[in-house]
Amino acid sequence: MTGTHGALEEPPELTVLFGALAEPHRRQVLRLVAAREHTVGELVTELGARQSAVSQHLKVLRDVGLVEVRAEGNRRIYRSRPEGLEPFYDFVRELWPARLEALRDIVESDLGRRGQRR
Amino acid sequence: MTGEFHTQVRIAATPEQVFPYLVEPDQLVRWMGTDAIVDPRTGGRYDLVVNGLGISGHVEVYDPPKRLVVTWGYIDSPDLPPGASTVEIVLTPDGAETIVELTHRGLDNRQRRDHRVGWLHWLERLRIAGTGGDPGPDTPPPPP
Repeated sequence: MTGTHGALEEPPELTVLFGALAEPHRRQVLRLVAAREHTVGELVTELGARQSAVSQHLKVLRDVGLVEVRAEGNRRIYRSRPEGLEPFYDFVRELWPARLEALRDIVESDLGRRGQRR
Repeated sequence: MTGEFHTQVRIAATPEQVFPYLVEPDQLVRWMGTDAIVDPRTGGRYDLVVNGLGISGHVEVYDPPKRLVVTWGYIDSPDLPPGASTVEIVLTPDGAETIVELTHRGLDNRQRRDHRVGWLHWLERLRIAGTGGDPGPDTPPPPP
């Protein structure tokens, strides 16, 4: 059940996640809020970007669950949400079956060339 | 969700025939990565370049041809740094074949609330594979 051939068996969250991370400025926003909590104003300063652009990136990251916000008085403070990465970790885990299949194919091919198989 | 992943494959070869593919760099890079430096003994280095990213680890258990445990982490990755996880490979003979069992432990993102998304770097490298397409050969290693 490796799902590497035939119908694509990916969780839809993964496509959404990769989509959200496809934009480099958005990744930079995520890096910053993963390092420590930030307000929008702090992000605007650090990135030298327009506030509207930063807010839009934060909205996308929140929508896919990579970033969350909390209120502190009048301030809204953004931080990363590591649970949002679970589909990615699942994806990493899924690489191993394909690697082991490659190992199997190479070992068996080598043995076949040495006449120990077939 | 646990931080452990397990998978296995059956290979038509003996454990003695399979084990070198896990520790001999020339054989290792044929199925995983592009460069490897392995010091095959307990405590020795186990360094790989996979998908253009450096994995720096060491051998925790060296027990040929039955078992290999190595640490698994990415250089410059605060999220999955060297030593953060382990990969155990157990080879069990079954008739003329070998059952290869792989367990990757420590892949639990929830344990690292304060991570810094170093994984984003290698996520980009893996994106092609993630689309279900053929990623092709690994990209060349980055400069040291």
